[in-house]
Amino acid sequence: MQSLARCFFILVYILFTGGPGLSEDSLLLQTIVQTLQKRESFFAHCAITWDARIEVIDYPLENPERFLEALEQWDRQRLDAEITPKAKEEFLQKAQQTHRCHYQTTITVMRSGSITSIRFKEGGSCENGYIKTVPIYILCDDEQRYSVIYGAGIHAGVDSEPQIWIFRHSSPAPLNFTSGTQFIYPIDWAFLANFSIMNVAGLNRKNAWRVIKQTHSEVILEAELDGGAVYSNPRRFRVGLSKQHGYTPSWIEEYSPAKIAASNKIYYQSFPTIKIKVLAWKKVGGFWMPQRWERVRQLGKEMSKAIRISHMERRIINLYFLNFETNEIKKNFPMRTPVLDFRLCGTDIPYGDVSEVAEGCVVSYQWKGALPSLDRLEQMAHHQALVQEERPHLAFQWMRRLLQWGIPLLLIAVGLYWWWRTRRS
Amino acid sequence: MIKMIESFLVTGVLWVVILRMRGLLKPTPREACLVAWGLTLLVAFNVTIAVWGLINPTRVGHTYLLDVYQVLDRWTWMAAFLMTNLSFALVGSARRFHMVAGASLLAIALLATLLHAAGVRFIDYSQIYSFHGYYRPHGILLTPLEAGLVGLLGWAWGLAWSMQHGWRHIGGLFLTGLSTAVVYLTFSRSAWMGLGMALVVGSLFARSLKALWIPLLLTLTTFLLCSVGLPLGWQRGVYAAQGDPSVQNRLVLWQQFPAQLVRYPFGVTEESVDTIEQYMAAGSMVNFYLDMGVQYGVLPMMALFWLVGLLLGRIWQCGQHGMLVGTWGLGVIASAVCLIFMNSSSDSLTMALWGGLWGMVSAMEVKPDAPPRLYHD
Repeated sequence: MQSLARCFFILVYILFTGGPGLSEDSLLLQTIVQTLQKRESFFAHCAITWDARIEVIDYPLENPERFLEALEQWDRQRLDAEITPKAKEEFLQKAQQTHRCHYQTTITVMRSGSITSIRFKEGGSCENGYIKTVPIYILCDDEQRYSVIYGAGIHAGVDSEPQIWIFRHSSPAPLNFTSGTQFIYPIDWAFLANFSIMNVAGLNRKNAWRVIKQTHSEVILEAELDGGAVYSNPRRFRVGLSKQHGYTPSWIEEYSPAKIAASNKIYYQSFPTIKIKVLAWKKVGGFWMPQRWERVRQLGKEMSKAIRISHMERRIINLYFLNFETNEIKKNFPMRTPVLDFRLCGTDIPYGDVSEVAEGCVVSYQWKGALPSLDRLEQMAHHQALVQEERPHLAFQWMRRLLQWGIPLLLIAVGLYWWWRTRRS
Repeated sequence: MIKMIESFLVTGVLWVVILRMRGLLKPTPREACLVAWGLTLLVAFNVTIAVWGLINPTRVGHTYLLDVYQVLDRWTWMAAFLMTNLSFALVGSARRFHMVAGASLLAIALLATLLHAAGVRFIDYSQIYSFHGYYRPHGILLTPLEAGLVGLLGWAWGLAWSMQHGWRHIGGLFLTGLSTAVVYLTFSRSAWMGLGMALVVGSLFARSLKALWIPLLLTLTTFLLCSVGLPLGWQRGVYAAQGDPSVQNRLVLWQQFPAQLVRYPFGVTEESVDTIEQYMAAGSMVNFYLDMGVQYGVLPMMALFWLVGLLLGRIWQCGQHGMLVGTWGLGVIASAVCLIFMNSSSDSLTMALWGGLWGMVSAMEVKPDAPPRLYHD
């Protein structure tokens, strides 16, 4: 009876799981997860310096007429402005040209247990061969679950002076947040800092990855993400793991959706938004890591018969320096830098939604070398609310009224007095 | 209710200015000194915030200075008018200060505009004004319109100095030419109109003040030379009649003016309008005089017309008698015409400068029985 039940159980297992084939995939996935986790742990305390040579190409506008229409619509709102059609044409002419720029930056990644930091220079908009770069410094603390982003011109593109923004996270930060820069995406961490690709963007849950192809040299995995806290839109990832290099990713592709049907079916673009390919390898302590790799990011859309790319950025990244003796990662942000602390606004706030958070929860202060604790931050928020509430009502509003009504009233009173005196005399 | 009070306050201040101009207010020198210096501080404070805000908008935007500026802004030109009126009539120390400060600011604004035309940038301009690839300069002023208006003030200064002797004569002629060039280079048709009208009136004045012909001819020559060197400016003039949206905008807004005035006799507030379009239409008529009506109501507008009428009448009288007031007054005529096509209320420096000039001219002594020519031809 017992053996009969055993046979029945095996039969049900085969029927519902697809039998030994899937089991093999599961085993393979398990092996990959463990191997990459070991590799991630091996590089847990290290400093890696990369040399990146970057080419940026902005292609001409697709529909100049519509662009001009939008520009004119904006122009109509400014009644006193005299922007002539010629000026618009000039602007449009620029937008119709191909702009190609090159720049170079050193990317310094430091990992020290739960703390990871990265420094680099990011290029802004490319125009007539010139591109301005700004330094960015990101620090993530997975134990305390926060991330600190320092930079100029990255936060909503309006700040020209450097600012620090601080966020709170529910899961390890580097792989599970969008930094707000176009420079670093979650998948980049797998190559820059040797994190496990299996943990990227919340894809570490069971059955997130599936094996779609296996050859003698590589295993190809695929995963889909519904966006969540990391991306605003769904994403599809496809990664090639090199068997020869201990299942280290040899290439990865990230696909953006082309459209989402009414039935919630997602149609992905046929070309990857980001494609990373390892060009040369290096073996360190029994583990492989990229020595030289290429990253291409392209924005565009699918036409009926072709693909129209509007922006492309190609990086060739070379390993410059690797050191396993790292000291404590310090929060070396310039003193007195203005800080916007979003930690009281909740966890995993998508970067694009910062303007929608309640105003009272954002605490602003100047950087004084250390991060205030959450308790201290609450005190600061309370104090900030009191100051904001009191100041305009008492001192400032009083002064404003005095200026608004006092000055003309005084002038009229003086005028009346002079007039009365002149008439009397 | 607040809007009504504001309307009465503006009318009241304008009324004080009118009474002062008509000689019905006679302060003692000590009182005049106190008020003139108080107003000087007010204007200087506002101009400083405005210029600083242009150079470093982020810093000013983060402080309460911006709020203070917005409150004081509306009084700038009236305060500057009364300030120079009192100082030129009664307060010697303030007069000297106003002459030096006004002349320095005017010179800086003119030079900055010229340097901007040569490609030197002083501030991170948020908006670029261009025509057929030519970048219209405005230096430290907000737009080329303000730069054109300030060019007219510089032109009046040059005209007045060129009527005098010695180094002032030479300097005045130089300034006349330089300011005319600035007016041309800004491609501000409003300023060109003002200059044209002032030239016509000036040529009438020159019948009794022959020395005026020299700077007037110099103005014409400079303008023609600039036209030959940079003929593009005339294309902009022609463009005004070829569907230029900025001209069309003005015409559409001016057509809406009577309806706006009937609907909001005490001026439009953000709260009183029903739609964003109404608010935008009431925001600026791109005409200083009509804006006074739309923003503060009928009474202040009438008072303003009276004040301008009084001032122009005095200039006309003095100019016909060959008096210096008439020469300076050409700047008032030019700026008064220019303000029909613009409103410089967003630029405190410009408002302080033209308000100051108007006040100065209003305070210049008029003696109907004085000899027809104060200076030799």
